[in-house]
Amino acid sequence: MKTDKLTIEFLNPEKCVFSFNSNGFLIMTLNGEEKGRIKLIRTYPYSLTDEYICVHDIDDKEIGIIRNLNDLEKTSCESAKKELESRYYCPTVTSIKSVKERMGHFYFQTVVDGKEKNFTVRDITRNMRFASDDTLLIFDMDGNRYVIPEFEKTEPKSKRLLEPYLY
Amino acid sequence: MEIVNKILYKLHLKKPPKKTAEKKEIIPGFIKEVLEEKQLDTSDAVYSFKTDMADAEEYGNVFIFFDRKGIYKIRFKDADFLEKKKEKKKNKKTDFKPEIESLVAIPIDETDELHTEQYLATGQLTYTFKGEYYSLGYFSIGLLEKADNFRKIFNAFKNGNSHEQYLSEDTGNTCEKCGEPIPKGLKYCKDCVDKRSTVKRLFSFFGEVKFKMIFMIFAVLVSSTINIIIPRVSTQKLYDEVLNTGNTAPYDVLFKGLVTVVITMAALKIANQLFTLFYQYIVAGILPEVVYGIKLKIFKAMQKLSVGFYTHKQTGSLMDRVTRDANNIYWFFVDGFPYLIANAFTVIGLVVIMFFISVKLTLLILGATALILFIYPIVNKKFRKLHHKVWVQNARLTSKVSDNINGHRIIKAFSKEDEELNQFGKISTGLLKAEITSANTESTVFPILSIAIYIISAVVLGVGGMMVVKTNELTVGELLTFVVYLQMLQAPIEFLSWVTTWWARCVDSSQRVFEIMDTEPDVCDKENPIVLEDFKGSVELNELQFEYEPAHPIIKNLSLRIEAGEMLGIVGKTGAGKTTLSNLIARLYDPKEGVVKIDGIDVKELSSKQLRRNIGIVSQDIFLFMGTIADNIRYAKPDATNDEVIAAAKAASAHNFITKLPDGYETYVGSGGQSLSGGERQRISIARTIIQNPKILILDEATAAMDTETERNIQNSLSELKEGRTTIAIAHRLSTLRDADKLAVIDDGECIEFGTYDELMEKKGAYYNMFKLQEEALRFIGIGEEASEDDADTEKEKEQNENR
Repeated sequence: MKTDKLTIEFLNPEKCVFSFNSNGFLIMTLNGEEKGRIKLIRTYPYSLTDEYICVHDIDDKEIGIIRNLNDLEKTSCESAKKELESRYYCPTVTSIKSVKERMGHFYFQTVVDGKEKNFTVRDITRNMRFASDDTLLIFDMDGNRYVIPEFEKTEPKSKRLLEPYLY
Repeated sequence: MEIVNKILYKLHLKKPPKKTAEKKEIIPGFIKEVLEEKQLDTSDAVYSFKTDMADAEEYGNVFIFFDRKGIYKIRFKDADFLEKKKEKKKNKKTDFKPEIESLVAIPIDETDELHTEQYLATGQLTYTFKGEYYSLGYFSIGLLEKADNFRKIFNAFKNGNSHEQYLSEDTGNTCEKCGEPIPKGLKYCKDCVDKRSTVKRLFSFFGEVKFKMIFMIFAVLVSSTINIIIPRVSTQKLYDEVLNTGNTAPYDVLFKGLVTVVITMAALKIANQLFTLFYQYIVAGILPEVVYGIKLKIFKAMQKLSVGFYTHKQTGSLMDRVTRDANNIYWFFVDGFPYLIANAFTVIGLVVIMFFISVKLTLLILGATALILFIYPIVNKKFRKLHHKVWVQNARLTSKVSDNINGHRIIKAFSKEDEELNQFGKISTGLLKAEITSANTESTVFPILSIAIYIISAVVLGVGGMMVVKTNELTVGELLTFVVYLQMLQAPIEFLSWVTTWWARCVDSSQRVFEIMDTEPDVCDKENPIVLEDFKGSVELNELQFEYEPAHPIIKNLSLRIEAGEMLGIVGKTGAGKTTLSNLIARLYDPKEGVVKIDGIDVKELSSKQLRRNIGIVSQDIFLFMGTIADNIRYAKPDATNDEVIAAAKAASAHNFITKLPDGYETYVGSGGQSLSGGERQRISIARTIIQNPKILILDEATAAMDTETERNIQNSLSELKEGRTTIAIAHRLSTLRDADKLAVIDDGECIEFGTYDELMEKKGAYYNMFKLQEEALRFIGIGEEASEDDADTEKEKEQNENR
């Protein structure tokens, strides 16, 4: 088997039109055909946020893959990016005030998106891990996830509090 | 009387009465007040849901409820008002009123159905009306279960169905003490969890050996007392009565005094050692017994837990509980507890005796000790973090090595040895750096602390010396005894300053251990389960619904019936819910809705022991226990004779390959044993089920890993076995199901076709299409299959040669 045969057929960006309907849901027109409400899926959610975007219909059947959102027409591109932003929104921890351990549970006092937020993490070495080189994910006991996008650039106190538990 | 009771509760001398969880209000009183002010009648509210998201990317407090007229969505201005309300409730202030920012009412006639959608960290409640989607609100992913319950209740209400069952699902756990809800996954309320009760339970493990414990504590106390007395009767007497230059007594008297001091000193030291030996002997005797008991209790508790518990917990974390947590408790009690008593007693004893010698000097020492006690925890905290870093790096290294060993074939096949070595080098460097930092810090901090202690000793010696020379408040002997006591104080104080960390770790471990012991299995027998006298094996599934995770239904409204002795073939795509169905029949899980009936009785009413004894599952996941092949075949029937074992192996087409193995039926398999191919392992697992002789036989892709000939042999054996028992066969290869009395086609959790082979072929529906597709595919593979069988045989031969 030749590796050059391993090619993907991408959707033609010129034929894809994305827009929001009056109810605020993203819809698509492909080759002039209305596809109705669609879902966009990032195949590389951390490293390539605007590339290799899967388009699924409302029944979760794949319509195709867009190589790069930036190849789309400007309004379509903005609409698609906006949809992805809200679909992949993850609360960002901007500061960690304290991490206290009690009975094997870690009680976090943090600032998330500018608001104070407290949550509890269990089994900390497993529920706090790097998604890519510098993106730290934290999962709390309720199943919520939080992100610290650039761990190295985060404030020293927060780093100091988390470092002992990083695997 | 109330005050007396409160004091008794505080002192844990009397148990407070259990608070029963109050019935959950659909709309909390303070929200109701605000809504009534806006002329919104809430008396008919059916269900409510509080979300923590105001929009797709914004936290906030939104309250949604519905009644028979419509759905109401209220957004409040103060984003944290519910948290504030909770705090105020604690302070008994109930005058807080949230302010409404917006209120949206959607008439119920303008909605068809609610939906929950799951995104990365959030979710959305949407509703459809005439095929159009509308947004109702967003929520954090942690609220998915609650949102989905809201959806189910609304849809059931809207369609005129009963929604009561969903309401009962929402009760959740509430704390017996404070009545507050307990977070998902916790068995206790963090505000009310009492460390002392954990400690009490921890000590209850020692209940059976309490007399030995009393002896041990007695021996520890005597040994410590002797240790404290020694300087007083040796050093002080030696200096004041024998070596004192001012002493003018004759040589004989001085010699006698010297001999007395030496003999007393030796006698006390021997007595001290004897008592130390005595308590160590008792500790060595009782602790393994206690730890064995703890491990046994954890293991016993784990056996009664349902399959769901194991799926949600990682195996590593469970292994940790049996081994690491039990060992944490063990080591604290072996290395910590006796010394804790000895050291605490020594400190108290030394301080008392030092007070007798000199109040002034003792106060000086206590001041300095307080300083040390303040510094030590800070230093320990630092070290704990450094040690944790080393532990983490070590764990990474171990995982890498384990990954490498398990994947050695792939590494070699892809020629990735150098890359693997590089990665190992990087992790190894991380460990090296962590260890160097830890060692450097330790080698710097400890000498500094030692210097501080020497300085304190020097100051004491100086002040004491002045008291001897200038004010005559002390004798030389007293001063030297004091200095000896000061040195004796150092080790116990160091011990006591870090033993708290150790103790905390032990309590944490025991908390995790108790969590397993206290977990109630999801699937458990009723009080007096029905034991069927004649287990026939008819199976009936009525409107079955099941989901592993909220909002992800695996089985949707599935109904079918198989008479006793019949064979049902289940076909469907991967992930259609076929295996889940077999798990539900064997009651490894309970359905969310609907009923599974065996012989016309709900499986929840039946004795699960009898049920599982009569259901045999040959699954896709083959697991062989450590032991011989014969042991594994005998697993379901330990008293099976050798004849039965061989007969079962023959029926499962396993006999031939077993006899080719050098150790035959006594070949050791499982972890570290003889490596067997997937097909061989599967055949052993079939033999294991055959020997069980179950009334209901579930074959979940039982022959998927085998070549066509072996499959045919097993099929023939199984055909004979099927007589007189109900068989449910799940398969991809439709040829496997040629003998089935009935066939069910499952797709996306639903039974889309059900009937006999002829009926389904005539219908020309999903089954017909699958059959035709496979027929065509088999025509192709027919040629390829022979080749692949040859390949497999060659591979097998190679493997066996390697093993030899």
